[in-house]
Amino acid sequence: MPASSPPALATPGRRLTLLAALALAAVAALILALAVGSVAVDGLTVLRALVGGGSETTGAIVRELRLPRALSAFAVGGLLALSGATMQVLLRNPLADPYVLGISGGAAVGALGAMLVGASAMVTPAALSGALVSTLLVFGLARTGAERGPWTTTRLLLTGVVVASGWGALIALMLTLAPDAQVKGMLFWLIGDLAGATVALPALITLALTLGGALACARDLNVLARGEEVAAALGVGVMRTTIFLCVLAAFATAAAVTTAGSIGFVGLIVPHALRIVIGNDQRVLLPASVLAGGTLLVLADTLARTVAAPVQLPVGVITALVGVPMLLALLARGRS
Amino acid sequence: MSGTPPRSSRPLVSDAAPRLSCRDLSLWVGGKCLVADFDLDVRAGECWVVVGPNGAGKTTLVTALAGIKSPAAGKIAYDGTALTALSPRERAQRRGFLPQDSVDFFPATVLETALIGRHPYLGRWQWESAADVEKALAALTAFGLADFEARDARTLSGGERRRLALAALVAQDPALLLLDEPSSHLDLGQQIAALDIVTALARSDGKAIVMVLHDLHLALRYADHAIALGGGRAHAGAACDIMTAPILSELFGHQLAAVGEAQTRSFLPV
Repeated sequence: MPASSPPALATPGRRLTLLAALALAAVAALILALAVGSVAVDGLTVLRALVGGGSETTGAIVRELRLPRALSAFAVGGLLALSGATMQVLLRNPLADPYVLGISGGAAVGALGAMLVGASAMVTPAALSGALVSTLLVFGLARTGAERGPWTTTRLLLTGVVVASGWGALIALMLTLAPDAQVKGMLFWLIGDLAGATVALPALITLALTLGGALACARDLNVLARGEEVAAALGVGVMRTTIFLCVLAAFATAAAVTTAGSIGFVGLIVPHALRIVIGNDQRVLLPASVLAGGTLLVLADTLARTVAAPVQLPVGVITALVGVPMLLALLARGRS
Repeated sequence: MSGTPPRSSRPLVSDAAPRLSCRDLSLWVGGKCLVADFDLDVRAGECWVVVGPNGAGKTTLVTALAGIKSPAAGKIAYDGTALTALSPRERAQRRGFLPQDSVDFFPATVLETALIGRHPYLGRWQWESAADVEKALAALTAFGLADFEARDARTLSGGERRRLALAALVAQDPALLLLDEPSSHLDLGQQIAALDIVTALARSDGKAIVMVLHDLHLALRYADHAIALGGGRAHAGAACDIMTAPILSELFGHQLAAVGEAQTRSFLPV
């Protein structure tokens, strides 16, 4: 490659600027999400309503209807981007994404199963178990063959597609046999929808915990990105770290799925786009992915609520419409 | 095993413990015994070379000595401390390992790649200090990569990437260096330059080196000790005793004639 095409790899100063810009963008996206809708509220009124001022109706719309949904969207987007970024390093493949690999599907089946047997307290643990089973399948199957070989893109995607369609069939089966009123709609579990997200706090807490956990391993991830042998030589407990981060990614996915169903491609698009701009230092990439993933989903959901109003689209439709062409473009580029 | 007799009788822990020692090491790959009951002491300042035909187990031996793959049997110790008593991080502070090949899966600058060598010394939440950056830059300069620090490592040539991997190892600054074909992908001049730097380290800083080399002449030029590995057996000893026509002829299954003496000895296929 000629020296005249230097890659966009950032200096430390540029990275801090970028993180600050992403945080600002997240705040702006949240304010936009609170302002836009069937009742338009201007930015100042939004801020006033947030601190308890303004008229009663506006306050109720902003604080009770739009705020939980917008915060849920942010948390879910952040969780999915974090999960995607972590899986990409662990699998050393930029195409890894919790939805594409069937991890979201596993979580959905777990959550749905728990609801069907009426164990509502078990929904989150069941979703986590489903996500973990999927993770195990992907890690186990995608690199069988070579003893310690890398995960090839073909095997990885094939495994993901098969696992995801298996979970999809199970979801369809359970929903067909289930009593109508008992479970949320098919769309929620297969495509993802934030219309039912009325409580944001659990997802936000999970986001904070999983981001903290991943950041504690961020430099280990930097080393793991170079392969397991190099990581072992540089003092990373490869097995222990990989298992910890897999559980963490599964946990993040499960929390996202129980909040908003299976929303696809956020975990693929966000880390990939950011990596081009700021490089692959996980200490910057992980928080940046959370901020950008959250912002992206807040904007996507705002669009989903308003573009065909009064009909509300499931937000998963929007992310898929952006994500599928991007995945195809990545595949086309990887071939050359 | 053949080799120098006093080694086997020496206890594993002593006052001036060797940088690396192993006792009764056995290595098996795919049901085949590569080496059995192998004893080795590598002391500070020594440079060992591992030679042998393809599939003899050279890579398996160095990865086992690096503690990356567990041997079938045997004990390995660094500076008299058993490998099993050292955490992965403590191991990485004592020994560096250069794999035969490395793949860059993600973008990273040359400087970032060299800085990875400082990983074993940094705490969980710690960032690389100015001193770490200085060490990495010095290592890059030593391998002729000073002007490349901001480049994406994936845009480098094969030889440049090999030198970058060596620079990361020098930045890691371990007392024991285990190198699997450090000169691969390098042209003749670069091979000499890279091996000059690496072996000078062993001699000046009291480090120790074990490296796999394919080129017998480079092996003789740089190593003071040698391990000849092949046919399920290993001969270890002084380079001039091991790198002889009879041993090498048997090892490679082809008659070789030695020309010249000591370090300038060369081998010609008959």
